[in-house]
Amino acid sequence: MAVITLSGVISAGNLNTNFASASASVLTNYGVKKYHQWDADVVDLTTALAEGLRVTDFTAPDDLQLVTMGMSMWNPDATSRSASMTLTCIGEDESALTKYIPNGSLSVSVTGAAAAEFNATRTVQTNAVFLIKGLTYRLEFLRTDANAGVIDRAYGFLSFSHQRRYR
Amino acid sequence: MTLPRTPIIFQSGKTLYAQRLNRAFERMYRDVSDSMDRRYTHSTFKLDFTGLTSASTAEEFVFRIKAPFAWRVDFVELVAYPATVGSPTLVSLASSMTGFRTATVVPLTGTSRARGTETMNASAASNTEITFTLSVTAPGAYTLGRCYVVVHMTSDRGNAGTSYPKVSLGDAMRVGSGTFVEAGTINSKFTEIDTAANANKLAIKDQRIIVFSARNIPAAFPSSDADMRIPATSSKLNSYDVVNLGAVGNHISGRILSAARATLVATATANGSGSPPSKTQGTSLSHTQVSSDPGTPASDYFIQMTRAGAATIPLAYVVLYTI
Repeated sequence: MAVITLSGVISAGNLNTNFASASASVLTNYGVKKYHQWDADVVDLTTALAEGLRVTDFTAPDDLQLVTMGMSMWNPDATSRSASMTLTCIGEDESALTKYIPNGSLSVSVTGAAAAEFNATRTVQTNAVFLIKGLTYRLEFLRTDANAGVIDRAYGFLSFSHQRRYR
Repeated sequence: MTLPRTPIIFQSGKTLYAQRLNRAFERMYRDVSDSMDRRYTHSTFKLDFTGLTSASTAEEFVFRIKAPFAWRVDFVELVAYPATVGSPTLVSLASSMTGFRTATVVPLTGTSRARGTETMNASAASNTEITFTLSVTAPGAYTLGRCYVVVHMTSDRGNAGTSYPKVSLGDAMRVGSGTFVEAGTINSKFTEIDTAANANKLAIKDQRIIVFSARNIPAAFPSSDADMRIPATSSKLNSYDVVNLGAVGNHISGRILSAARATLVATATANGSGSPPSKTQGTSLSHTQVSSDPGTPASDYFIQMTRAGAATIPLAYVVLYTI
C-alpha cells in the first residue's frame, strides 16, 4: 500500500491510507520467525554400532517449533539397507520425558535399494511440535535391516522456527 | 510478545487535531520500536572432538571461529563417552572469548555418557578469531570416544552496525500542538515511520554460525561424507571460513552449493601447511535462500568439502555465517 503525499486539505481517507500502509509494513515483520537447525551424522552405520556413536544430544536453546525432519543415507553396494533417525526428549536428567514429543518420539526412515545409491527423505511437520527451552533432546540413528555391511554415512537434520527475542 | 497497537481511525467531517495525529504516530513508533527490540537470536553449533588421542597435535584440539558479527555464548554442553583407550580423568573446554567459563566433564566408564554444562555470558567482538580448545587430563595414553561440544550462542541483530539503524523517534513524532499542522510535517513523519519499518525488516534475519567438520580425512574422501545440508530459510549467507590441518600438499576446498549441488561462489581453498592450520577466512557470500520454508528442498544449500593430496588430514572444517 503506497503512502500518499498529503497537501492542501488533508482528507481523513488519505490519512487512514497512510497509517494503514505503515501498519502493514510493521505487521509484515512483527510475527516473522527465525530459523535454526540441528544436524547429526554417523559414519559406517552397522547393526552393531555402539549407541554412543549413533546418538547426538542437544539442549533446546529456545522454544523451537519443529518444521522439518529429514535424513539421507549412502548405500555403498548391491545390498538393500535401511536406517531411521528418531527424535526423543531425554530431559535434563536423562530420564525419558516422552510427553514432550507426540507419541514419545518422531522418526524418519529411508531404505536403499539393492544398489549403490544415495537416498533421502524429509517430513514437513503438519502438527505443531515444540521443543522446550532447556530440555535435552536426542537424535538417534538406527539400522532397521538385518543385512551385513555398512551404510557409508547417515545424515539427518532438524529445522526449527522460533520467535525473535528481546535479549 | 506485545501485540501491535490498534491504529487510530480518522473520520471525514471531524476536526483534525494535532493531538490525535500525535497519538497515531506515537502508536506506530512504539510498534516499530518494539519489533526492533526483538532482534536477538538464540542458536547452537556443534564442535566435534571424537577420537582425539594423546598423540594428537595441539591444533587438533582447537576450533577457530571468526564471525563477521559480535556474538556471545550463554551456555555450553560438553558431552563425553568413555575413552576407547586409557582412562582420562578430566576433559575440559576453554575459549579465548571474554568471560568464557571453562566447562569440564569426567568421562564415565561402560557405555554411559557424561555431560558437563556451564552457564556464562561470554562475548566476542565482530571479526575477531575465537578459539575453542579442548584439554584432556589422563594418567597415560588415551583415545577419546565420542566427544563433542554444543555451543549455545546469542546474536544481537543490532550489532550489525550501520545496516541496522537504531531509530529514535520519540517526541519527534509529534507534529505539533496547535490548530494548524503543515502537510509537509505530517509527510515527513510518515517517511520516518517508513524508514524505521524498513530498518526493522533486518531484525527478522538470523545471525548464525554453522560448523561442518571432519576428522582423519583419508586420501579417498568419499563425497558421501563430505557435505552438510542447510535447509531453506530466509537467511542470507554472508561469508565462510575454511580451516585445514593437512600437511603441505594436502588441500581442503570448501564450497557452498545449491540444492542441485551447483557451486554458488568461487571455491575457497585452505592449502595444507600443517600446524598451525592454514585458513581462508571471510570468503564473501551474498546469497539469500529463496524460500523461507525449510520444507522446500529445492531451496536448500549445502556445505561441501573436497580434498587434494594423499596424506590423512587430521582435521578440516568449514564455518558458515548467516546474517
